[in-house]
Amino acid sequence: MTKAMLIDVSKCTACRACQVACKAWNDLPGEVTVCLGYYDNPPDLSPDTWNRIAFKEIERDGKLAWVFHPVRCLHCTDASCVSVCPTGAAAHHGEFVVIDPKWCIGCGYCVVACPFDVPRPGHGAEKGSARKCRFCIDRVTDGQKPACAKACPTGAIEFGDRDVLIAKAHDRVAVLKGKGFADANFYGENLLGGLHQMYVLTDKPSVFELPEAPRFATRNLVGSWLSGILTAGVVAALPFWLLFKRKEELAAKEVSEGGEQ
Amino acid sequence: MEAMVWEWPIFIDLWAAGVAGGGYFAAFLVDRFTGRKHKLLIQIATWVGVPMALLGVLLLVLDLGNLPWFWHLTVKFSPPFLVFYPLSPMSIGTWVLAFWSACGVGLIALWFAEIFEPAEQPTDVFARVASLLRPLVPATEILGWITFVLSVLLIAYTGVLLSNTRIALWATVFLPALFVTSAVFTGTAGIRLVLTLLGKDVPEEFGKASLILAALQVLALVGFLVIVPAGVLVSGPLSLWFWVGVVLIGLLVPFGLELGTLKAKGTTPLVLASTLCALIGGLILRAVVVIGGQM
Repeated sequence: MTKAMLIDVSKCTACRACQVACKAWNDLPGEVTVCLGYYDNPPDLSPDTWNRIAFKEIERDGKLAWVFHPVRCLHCTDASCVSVCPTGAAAHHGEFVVIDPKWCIGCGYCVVACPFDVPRPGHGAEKGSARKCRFCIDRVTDGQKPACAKACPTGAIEFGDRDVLIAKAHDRVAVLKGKGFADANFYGENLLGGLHQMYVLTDKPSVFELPEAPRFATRNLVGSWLSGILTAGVVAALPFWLLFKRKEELAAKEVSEGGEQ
Repeated sequence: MEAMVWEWPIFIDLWAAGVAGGGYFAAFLVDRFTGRKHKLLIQIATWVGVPMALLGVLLLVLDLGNLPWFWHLTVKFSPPFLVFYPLSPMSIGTWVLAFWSACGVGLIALWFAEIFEPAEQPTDVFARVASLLRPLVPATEILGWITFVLSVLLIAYTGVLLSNTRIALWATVFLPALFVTSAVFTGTAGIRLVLTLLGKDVPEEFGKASLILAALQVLALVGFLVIVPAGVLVSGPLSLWFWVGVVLIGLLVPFGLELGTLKAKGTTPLVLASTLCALIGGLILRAVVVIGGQM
C-alpha cells in the first residue's frame, strides 16, 4: 500500500512543532535569522531547514484571515528532480523522493527544475549537495511515522495509506465547504502523477503559493531536442547550402555549358 | 529561491560550447558543400573549438557544489558502471561534450599523422607517434562525420539544458532554437576572426552567410520573446544589457558591418569588428538569459 502524508491547513496552528521535529530527527542545525517584519522564521527553506511554516494574511469574505501551512518537498510521482538529475543521486525510494548527499555533485539542476522550488544547495559537512525533506525514510521503513507527523499536536499532519488519506481529504473538503470555505480544495491527488505530501487547503492553491498546474520539468524534452536539431537543419540549409552548395552547382553548370559550346 | 543557482560559469560554458559546436558545424558544411575545398576551416574550427569546449567542461566542474565528486557524472561502482540518464539533458550534455572533445582531439591527431613525414626524423617522438597513427588516417572521414553529428547535439544541448526546468524564462522550446542560431552565428564569427587574424583568405560567402544567420537569430529571438515572460530582459533590470549587448552589439552592429563588407574592399577591420561584436553579443545573450531567468 502506498504511503503518503496529508496536511490539513485548516487544523494547522503554526506551532512549528513539525519544523522543530524535522530539525531534531534529521540533526539539522538551527539558523541565525533576523526579523523581517513577519512571522516566517526562517523565511525560506535552506539546506538546514527542510520544513518550515509559512504565514500569510489574506482577505476572506471581507475579513482578515491568517493562514498557515508547512512548506516542504511534496514527493511527486513524476518528480522533476529525479528526471533531470545527471548522476542518479535524486531517486525514488518506493514512493518517496530522496537525494543521496553522498552521490549528489551539487550541480543545481534539481533546484531549477523542481516546480515547487524545494531543493536547496547544501553547505557545511555535506557541502554542495542539494538537500530537502526525505520523508523520514529511515523512520517510515522502520514502521514509524515521519517526525513531523508524530510531533503535530493538532492532527494537521496525518501519515498513512494514500488511498485512505485521499478519501479523508475529500470528506474534509466537503466539511470545510459546508463551513463556508467556498474555495476549499484538495491539492495533490493527481498532480504530477500524484503527490505523496498532499494538502487540504482552505483557499485556492495560489494563496499558499502552490502552482495550480505544476510543470514536470522534462515534459517537453523531446520537443526541445527536436527544436534544436530542426533549427540546425534550417541553419544548414539556408545560409550554407544556399550560398556554398548552390554556388558550386552553378559554377559546375557554367563549366559544363562552356565545354559543350 | 534564496540565491542564484547558476551564474557566470554556466553562461560562459553555454557560450563556449556554442562557439565550439557552431564553428565546427559551419566549417564542416562549408567544406562539404564546396567539394572539400575548405579543410582549413574544419581544422581551425577544431583547434579553436576543442580548447573552448574543454574550458566549458572545466567551468562546469568548478561550479559544482561537490567538486571532487564530478566523476559521478560518468562512472559508478555498480553495473553498468557508466552513468547515463537519457531524460537528463545534463547527463546527455556531459557525454556529448566529452565525446565531441575526444573526437576533436582525435581529428587533430590524425591530421598531424597525415602531414608529418616520419622519414625525416625517425628517432623523433612525434615521428614515432605519427607512424603509429598513420594507419588510422582513413578514419578521419568517419570521425569528421561523427564530430558533425555531435556538434548538432552540442549546440542544441545548450538550450535544451535550460528549457527543461521550471524557470518561466527558460521553459520553452524556442530557447534551443535561439541558442542554436546564436551558436552557429558566433561559431562562424569565431572561425572568420581566426582566419582574418592569421591573414588567410575568408570565403566571401561567409559575409552573406553571417547576414542570413543574424536574420535567423532575430527571428528566433522574436519568437522567444513573444512566448516567454521576458519583462526582465526587455524592460526590467537587464534591459540595458539586452538592448545594447544582445540586440545592438550582438546583432545590429554585425549586420551593418557585414553589409559594409559586401560593398567595400579592404574589409579586414570591418570583419574583425563584426566578428568580435557577434561573439560578445552571443556571450551577453547567454548571460542575460541565465541570470534573468533566476531574478
